[in-house]
Parts: sequence; structure tokens; C-alpha cells
Amino acid sequence: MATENILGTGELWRNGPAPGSLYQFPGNQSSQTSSQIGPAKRTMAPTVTGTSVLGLKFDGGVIIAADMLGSYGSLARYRNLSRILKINDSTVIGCGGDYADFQYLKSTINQRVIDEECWDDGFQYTPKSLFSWMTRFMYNRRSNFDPLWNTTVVSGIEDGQPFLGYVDKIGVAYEAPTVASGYGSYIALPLLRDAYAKNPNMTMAEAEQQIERCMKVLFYRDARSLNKFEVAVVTKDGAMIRSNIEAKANWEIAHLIKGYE
Amino acid sequence: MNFNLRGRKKNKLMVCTILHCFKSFLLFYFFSYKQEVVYHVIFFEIRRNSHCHDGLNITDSYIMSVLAAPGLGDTYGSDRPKEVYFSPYAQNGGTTLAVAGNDFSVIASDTRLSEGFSIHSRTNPKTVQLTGNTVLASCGFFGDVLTLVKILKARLKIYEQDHHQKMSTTAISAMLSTMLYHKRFFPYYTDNIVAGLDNEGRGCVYSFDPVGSYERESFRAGGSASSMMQPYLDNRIGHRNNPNPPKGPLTKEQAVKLIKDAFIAATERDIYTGDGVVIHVITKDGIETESFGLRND
Amino acid sequence: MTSVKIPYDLSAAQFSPDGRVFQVEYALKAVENSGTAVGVRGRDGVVFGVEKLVTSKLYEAGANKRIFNVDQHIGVAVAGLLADARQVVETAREECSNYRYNYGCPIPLKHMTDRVSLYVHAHTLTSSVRPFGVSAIVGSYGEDGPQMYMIDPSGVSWGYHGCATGKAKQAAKTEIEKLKMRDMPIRDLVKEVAKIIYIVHDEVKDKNFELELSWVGEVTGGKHERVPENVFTEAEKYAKVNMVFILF
Repeated sequence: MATENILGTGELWRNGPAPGSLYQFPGNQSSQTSSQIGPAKRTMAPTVTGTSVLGLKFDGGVIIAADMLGSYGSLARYRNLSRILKINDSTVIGCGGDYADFQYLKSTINQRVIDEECWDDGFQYTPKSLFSWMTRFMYNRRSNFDPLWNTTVVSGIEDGQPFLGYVDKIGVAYEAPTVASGYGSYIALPLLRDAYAKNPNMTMAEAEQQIERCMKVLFYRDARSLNKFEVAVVTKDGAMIRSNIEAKANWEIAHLIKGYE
Repeated sequence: MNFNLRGRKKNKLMVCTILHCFKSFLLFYFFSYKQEVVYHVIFFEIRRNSHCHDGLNITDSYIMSVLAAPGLGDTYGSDRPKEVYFSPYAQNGGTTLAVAGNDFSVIASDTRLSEGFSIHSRTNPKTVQLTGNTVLASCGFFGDVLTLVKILKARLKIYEQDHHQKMSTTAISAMLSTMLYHKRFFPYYTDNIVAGLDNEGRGCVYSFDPVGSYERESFRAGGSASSMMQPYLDNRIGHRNNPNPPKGPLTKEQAVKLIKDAFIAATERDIYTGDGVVIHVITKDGIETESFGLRND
Repeated sequence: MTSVKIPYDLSAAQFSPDGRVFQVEYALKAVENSGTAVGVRGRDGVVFGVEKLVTSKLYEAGANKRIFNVDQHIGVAVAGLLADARQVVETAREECSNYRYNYGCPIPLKHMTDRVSLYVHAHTLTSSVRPFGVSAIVGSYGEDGPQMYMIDPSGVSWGYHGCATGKAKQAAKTEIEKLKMRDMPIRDLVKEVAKIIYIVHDEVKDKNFELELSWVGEVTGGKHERVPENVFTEAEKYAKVNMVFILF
């Protein structure tokens, strides 16, 4: 078949560009037909993307997790990307969606943290203040029709209380004891909510266990996920990020599945 | 989309009008596609026009000519209009309800925040206390709700510092109307109801459409289950086609009971309503708040 | 024809016949009226000390600080007109932020110094502005170890192992020269710097002062910050004890 394609039709490879033309970024439907005439466009489709971010409150703290995959459409392109950003000892954010937009967000926040330190007044970003800023930032970008293609989970400790919030690319934002973005909102969130309803005062270890379980389930079911992830835990003792955690998967029964070959 | 765009605005192919702000022009085409409303937003930012075409308004035909003009460079820094495929709105559901009595008013909302078939939060009331005797209920696109509430609170604070007194419910409503209308061509996608006491101490309810049309009413339901609740209220409070209307004015207790029933009933059929209800009873003595659970399936 | 004496000092745009720019020299005078600022570059970092003169007992403590953060890894200690200094510091901050935005890493101190010097120098060229009455000591700690420069009102900058500016800069320099700072860790240097500030303070002319101490180096993880309370107290105690010892 392959020979036929190369010799017969002149097609070099499937889904690739014609010789001399450009690659089309995945998900960008509008590119082929209307790019020649009509209004100029801003890129409105994410390019390298991260999938779900999970978050869960526990007794005296909060935990968030995100895997380390950077997908390029269906291609698992980068396998060691960090999508979690520590702001300070009491604030951590996690980000899904376009990775370039996340990097821009990261540099913006980092500079704001420095500006804050320059004031030298003892104040710094708190989970709530950063969350509030995030909602304004994302909303203003969407209002200028130039959104950052991200969903962000803001977590941390403020006044001894755990904080967990969600902000998406059009400025929808809320706080909740369990949050999940992207595919995780369908697969992991019900599991987290169930676990939280049964035990609203989990220990840190129990919360970690729940999160790791959810990351494993996501790896089984979400085709844009990876069994390598990062976890950030914020307690009164500070923010700690652990990287390269592996979800031990078991594919023993895979050979029993027939009919999809 | 479940918004009640009343009368003239109902279901119209929305606007082909141009907003001339200081430096940019926006044009929106809202059109339907396969029964879903798809926002095909065309964003024009023709900076040069606001400076060079002194005073000249851009006409539809000019825009069409810009759209049709071939061969203009697609390069960075071009002055051409920008087209964008992206929906700046979401429908986050939620139902609100307010009832005015003789010397009180009651306002309530459910606590579910959803998007599509997902529930974001089960504990997110859409009511906000604005002053000692005014409560706003706002639902629809929650990003706009957050923004509107933030600006509204700032405006109230400024008013209080300027005038050394709290803004009245009536004034808040008038102000909210102008705030909504100022975004006439990029509307806050929100359904708002304000409840409180008027300057004579009578209960009052004001309801708004997303672009600022408003009126005082004695009861109003808003948001996703409003089309189910409003007829119920018409009958139970407005006594439309009610052969045996009760004697005497509506009491607080009756109003609260009615609101509970309305929410319990709506929750049965509307997937965007549920989880819980928050009810605020506003009297001259202040605001009392109670809440109770709804089905959370 | 009556000859009118032409003043050469009204504008920074004009030289005097013997090749001086008086406005710049007046700016230096403004610096010399200010409380002393000291910077010492040690083995593993840079220490700043400032003698902040307090002219009234009615002032709140801790106001009008003269040591600034400019970026995470850069600190500035200033002598001269404080309002002018803030302007210079703001420029430095913008340069740091700009560099970070463009290159994604902290600005090397040499680059920042050059850019800020250029800005200061630009104010010595035209008649429409006056020069900054400020000397700024900038210091950082990064991949290539500790760095320290001082920017003068003329827009000139030099790299230093130890420098001082302000009222008692001569006395301070004499003290600094006694230090073997190249081999000293900043944990020890911070005490010496405190001591120098206490020694050079003129109790007769200027009654009250607040000591400001900051450092950037290995111990702070490369971040410029005010020294922690315990280090400050220890340094101040050391300064007071040894200062008395010298006097007798």
C-alpha cells in the first residue's frame, strides 16, 4: 500500500502538507479556506497543549497535580514539561491548555512577583489575590478577543485555610474543594468529589493517594495524558513540588480486548 | 440560549451596528447554525480610521469592501480587520427569583454553576448583597457576572464616599441599567434582578434584560429555569386565572414557601438548576439569609 | 560696551573655559551632603550598609529607605537626593524587567550598570534637565560570583571590591581598605560594614541615624534582601562594641 501511495499518487505521507506548502497546526479549521482573503487572524487554536489539572483540599492544605506531557495535536511531542508553577511558599498554580500561553503567563507572573518584592513592604501574592488577578487577566484578554488558551488552577494557603480555585480562558472562575480541568472534569472530578464527600477532612497522605489514583485513571482513559506527572502540596510549612512521579499502570488485560484491531 | 430578550430585542439577528469608541470598531454577526447559536465574531480594529478619516463613520459598505479587498498583506502590523473564531461567552446556568411584598422583598438563587453537561460547583450562589437593603441576583455567563459585580461594588463605594450615604435600591437599579447599556454592542451576557426596599420602605424588585432594559415588578424569575418559574409565579402571586385568590397581602412566610416550591419544582426538570438555594429576606430591619438543599443529580 | 561676566554653571550643556561642567560638580556636592553609604564585595556576595540620617525625632522609624531591590538578584544603596535616587532606581528596575522579558534570564549587573549609567549621563548633556544628585552602589550575586559597581552623577561607573559615598566617604574608604574582603564571607563582612557605618557617623554634627544593612550572596540564595533580624542585631552589637574600643 505504501509503495502504491508513493509511486502511484505522488502523496508523500498522509496528513502531511503538499510539497512546497506549509504544515497546518492541528485544530485550526479555518486555515485552509479563508486565509487568503478576508480579515487577518490571530491564532485562535492552541498548538502544544497540556491536558487536565486536578486539585483537592485536605485537612490543613491543598494538593494539585498535572501530568508532564506536551501534546502537539495527537502527537505526544514533549514528555517532560512542567505545568505547575510555584509563586511562593503559600501559592502554587497549575495550568492546562496552550503551553506557549502558559509560558507567557509564567513570565508575566514572575515579573509581577519581582515588582512586588521591589516594594519591600512585606506583602506578597496570596492565593486569593493571585486568583483575583488571574480572573481579571483572563477576562480582559477574552474581552479583547485575544484570549490565553488556558484553564488555570490556583491553590495555596491563606490565613491558615486551604484555597482552591479555577479560572478558564473566558474568565469563568470559582472556588471549590475539588477542581479539575479539561478531560479530568469528566473522569477525575466525580472520583474526587466522591472521595471528598466521604471524607472532607482527609490527611495529606489520603489526599495524595486520591490524586495519584485519579492521575492513573486519567492515564488509562485520556489519550492526551502521560503516566508521568507532577504534584504540588501546599501546607502551612510551605509549598513542595514533586516531579517525575510515575503512575504504575497495569495493561495485563489489554490482550483480552478484541475486535478493534 | 434562554435569555428573555424582551419585545423588540427578542431573538433578533443581533445587531450589525458599529460602536465607535476611541480607537476601535467592533462588529458582531450573531447567527444561528444547526440550532446552536454560533458566535461568528468578526473583530474590526481599524486603528488608522479613527485618526485619519476625520469624523467619518465607517459604513457597512466600507466594511464589506475591506472584507472583500484581496491581496492585502497578511503581515504583522497590518491595519486590516481581524477575524476570530472564538466564543467569548459561556452559559453557566443558574436560576434566580425575586418577590416584592408590602414592606419586604425576597430574593433567591440556586447554587449550581455548570457548563454544558458538567457541574463546576455545587456551592456557588448567584446573589450578592450590595447594601444594607439591596441584593442583586445575576446569572448567565459567569465571567460577566464576576466582572459586573466587581464594577458595581466599586461604583457603590465611590457613590458612598461622594455622597456620604448608601445608594438606594432604586438608584442602584438605574445605575445598573446604564452600566448594562454601555456594553450594548458587546453585552454582559447576564440576567439581573435587583431586590430591596424603595424610598418609602415598600418592597421592590427590578428586573433587567442583558442590555439594560429594566422595569419595576412585583415578582420575577431569571436565568435557566425562568421560563418554568415565571408562569408559576404569575398564577400563585399574580393570581392570573386563579379562581380563588387568597385574601390579604402576601406575607414573608408565604413568599419564602412559594420560592422553595418553585425551586424544588424547577430542579426536577432543569439540569442547570439544583444543589441548593439561598434565600434573602429583606426588611427594614436588615437582611436575613437562609439556605436549603435541592437534588444534586 | 560693558562686559558682563558669563556664569558657566547655569546649564549642564555648557563647559567652563577650563573644561568643567559645573552642574555635575554641584550634583557631586549634593551627594556629599548625604549620609554615608558603603558597599563591600566579599568572597561569596556583596554587603550594603547605609547611614540613614534622621533629622527629627518626630519621624516614623523605617521611612525613606535608601537600600532598594531592583531585581531578585540586584540591590542598590544610594547616597544623595532621595527623590532623584528613586528615579534612577525605577529606571534600573525597568532595565531589569526589560532584559528578563527579552532574554528570559536575570540581567548581568555589568549590563544593567551600563544602561543606567547611560541614563544618568544623558542628564548631564542638555540644558533642559539637571543631573541626578545621586551616587548609586549596585551589587549582585550570580553565576560569575559577586559583582559591585558605583554609578556617579556624571554617568561614569566603576567596578569595586569596596566603595563608599556620601558625607564620610573618605573615612569609610580608609576603613574598608583595612579589610581583606576578597577572602571574607559576607556573614563576617556584614559586621564590618555595620562597624564602619558606626565609626564614620559624626555624633556631633548629625545626632540620630538608622543603620540599614542588606546583602546578596550565597547565603541568600542569590537574592538581594535586608539582613535578617538576628544578623542585624548581632552586627549592630559588634559594631557598637568595637567602635568604642577604637575610640579609646
